[in-house]
Amino acid sequence: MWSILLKSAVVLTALVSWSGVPAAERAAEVVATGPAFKSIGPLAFSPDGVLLAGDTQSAAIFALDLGKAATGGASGAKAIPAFDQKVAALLGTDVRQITVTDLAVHPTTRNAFVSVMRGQGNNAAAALLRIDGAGAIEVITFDQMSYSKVALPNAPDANPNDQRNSRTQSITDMAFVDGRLYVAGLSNEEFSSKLRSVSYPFSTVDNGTSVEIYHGNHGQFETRSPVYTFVPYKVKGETNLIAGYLCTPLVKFPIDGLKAGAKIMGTTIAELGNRNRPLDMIVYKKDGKEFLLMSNNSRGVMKIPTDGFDGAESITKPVADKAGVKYETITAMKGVEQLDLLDASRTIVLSRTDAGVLNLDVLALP
Amino acid sequence: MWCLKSAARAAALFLFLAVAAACAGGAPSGGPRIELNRSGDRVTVDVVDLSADELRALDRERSRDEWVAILRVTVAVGNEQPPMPGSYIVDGSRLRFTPMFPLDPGRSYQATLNVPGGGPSVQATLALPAPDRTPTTVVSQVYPTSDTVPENQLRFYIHFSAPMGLKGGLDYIHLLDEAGSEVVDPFLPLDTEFWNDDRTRYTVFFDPGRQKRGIAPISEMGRSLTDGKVYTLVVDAAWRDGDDLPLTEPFRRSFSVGPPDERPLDHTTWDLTAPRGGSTDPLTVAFREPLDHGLLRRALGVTAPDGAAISGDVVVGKGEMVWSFAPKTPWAVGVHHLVAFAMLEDLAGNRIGRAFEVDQFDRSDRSAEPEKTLIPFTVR
Repeated sequence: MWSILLKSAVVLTALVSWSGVPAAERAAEVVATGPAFKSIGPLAFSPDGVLLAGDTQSAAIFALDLGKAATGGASGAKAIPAFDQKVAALLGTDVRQITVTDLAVHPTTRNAFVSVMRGQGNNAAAALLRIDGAGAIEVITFDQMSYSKVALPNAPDANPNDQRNSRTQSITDMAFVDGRLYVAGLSNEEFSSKLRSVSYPFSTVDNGTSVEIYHGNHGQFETRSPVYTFVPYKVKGETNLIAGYLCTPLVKFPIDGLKAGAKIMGTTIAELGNRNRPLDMIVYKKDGKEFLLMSNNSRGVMKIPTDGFDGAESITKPVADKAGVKYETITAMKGVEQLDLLDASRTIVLSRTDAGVLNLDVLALP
Repeated sequence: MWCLKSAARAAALFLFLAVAAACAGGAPSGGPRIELNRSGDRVTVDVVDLSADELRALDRERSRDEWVAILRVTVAVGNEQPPMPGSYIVDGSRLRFTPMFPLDPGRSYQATLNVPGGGPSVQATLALPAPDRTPTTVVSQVYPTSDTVPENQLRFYIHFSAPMGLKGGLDYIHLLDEAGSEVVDPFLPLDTEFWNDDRTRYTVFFDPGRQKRGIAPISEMGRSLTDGKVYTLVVDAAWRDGDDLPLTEPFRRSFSVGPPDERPLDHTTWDLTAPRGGSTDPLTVAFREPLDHGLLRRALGVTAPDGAAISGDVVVGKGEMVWSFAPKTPWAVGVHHLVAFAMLEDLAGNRIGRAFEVDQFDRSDRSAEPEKTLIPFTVR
């Protein structure tokens, strides 16, 4: 059940150790009303409907109590053609000024929530939209919304009081697993791979774990390569993160091994092909079997049976193109950039047409 | 009296384009008008010249849908655009709509008024003036500044003279070979953009998968950079700044490519020139190779003989091969330490004691990286 509440898209990566910074300075939780976002997205819901929204520009995560905004009246969500154009008009601008950053489905109302940046310049503003089962798009107001907030720690500066530190920490993906939020981030300076976690209600964001893989397609042991998308999945009762990398190894990491300050070697269970970038993943069940559904930028949407994840041998030698667990390409799903489970039988996706129009579609799970 | 008040109020406001046109045969003379009000922090859409009866009818609690039926504000493009969200209030003699998001300068908005029990519908097309469209932002610097970079160069930092817009990145950056042909997909494609806090520095990473030896993308596409060749980095002028304006001109820089650098950083080759005690002269450190400009700014520091970190001003010298540090207060005499944090990297991502490439299991290092390296120097 938990797996359908969790979605992900993107890059796990890099951070250096920042020990030496007192714990009290690492993260500060704030409980207040009226969250002020510099940017919004990615999104993830907790099982009880708290919306966790990353602010990549300020390297913070907001936990939003949606209250009455959790429901638009009609449960579920409805497809909306030319979604980006409609959102642009609703927000009083044109489509060139709109960037849709993520999509997540509320665990009980099944309304879809979409994070959007309105504007591209100095006055860019964060917007949160709710799409209900009647297809109504509502802009959620932040003014009176209760929230708590936790900051990701930045790396240390060897020169105290340096006012010119240009390092920032992007938040690229989040997933909620058994009471903890896992956060992927990427620095704009040093290049290395790490995954952080924080318990919810928020405490302190941990030091993170270095995650490393063997990339059969590259014939390389990759110590710092960024993970592009990840999703939690239980293998033989043990919770793993299933992660997709560029060019496109699929790797599992047992969550028990993700200990702060440690390094962990992932098991590469598949090579899904070169010249490809994974975008988003969900896990679903159909006809008694479980599948991973993964969207990609050049190899379409892949349906991957999970029953091979348990016994999959780790790929430790170079491969030409594909190896490991098999997949089926879902040709009916094209241009998918974001996806989440809408209900037990349908997925909701943001997909871009060849003409560049972004549609919100509701599709039967393949 | 009412007209005098209205006139005074109108004179006190900034009115921009406010084209009010009566529908259904035209509004009665002296009827309500719709205008932009820029007197507050947020530009609002105001209905003025309402009669006392109309104000009484308006001044009550209403649902959002009810307010939208009275005053509907949309973008003025096509038909049947959705009403923009915002708040409604009767403020004195005005009905005021404050949009949730600021109106875009230069964009036309349509406002339609239907006062309950009032006269015919009133429409207005409203627009704030378009901003000055003269571009002023330039690429002010690109790091590394050295004329030659290793074949496995890991990143560029592109600095701008003013904050840039949200959209950007790889669509505007090109790598050209000696023939002027574009190198295909040399940079790491990511969904996130790598800016500093004020969006004046953009980081672009080369695709590490194409930088490493013997991997499939190299055999298919060739390495992004090749030893002995000359390349040109191009930044398009079309990249938009924070005011949604292009750059004043494109940026081009040519550089040569040398052999790949696959060795860990060796701090024992650094030349430290210690300052005199009692002075605020800088400590200077010369490297045998360029180091990463961004990391040089924060991964190196100095500790006093008692181990405390010293505050000072850092200058990264020519070609990112010299680092100097002038303390805020004069140097004490004694053994200090240059502190190198583990994240310090050269142009190819090599760190102290750990090369960027580790390509075999038995050579992989599972131990935690050292947090810092201490290099002593004596102030006399």
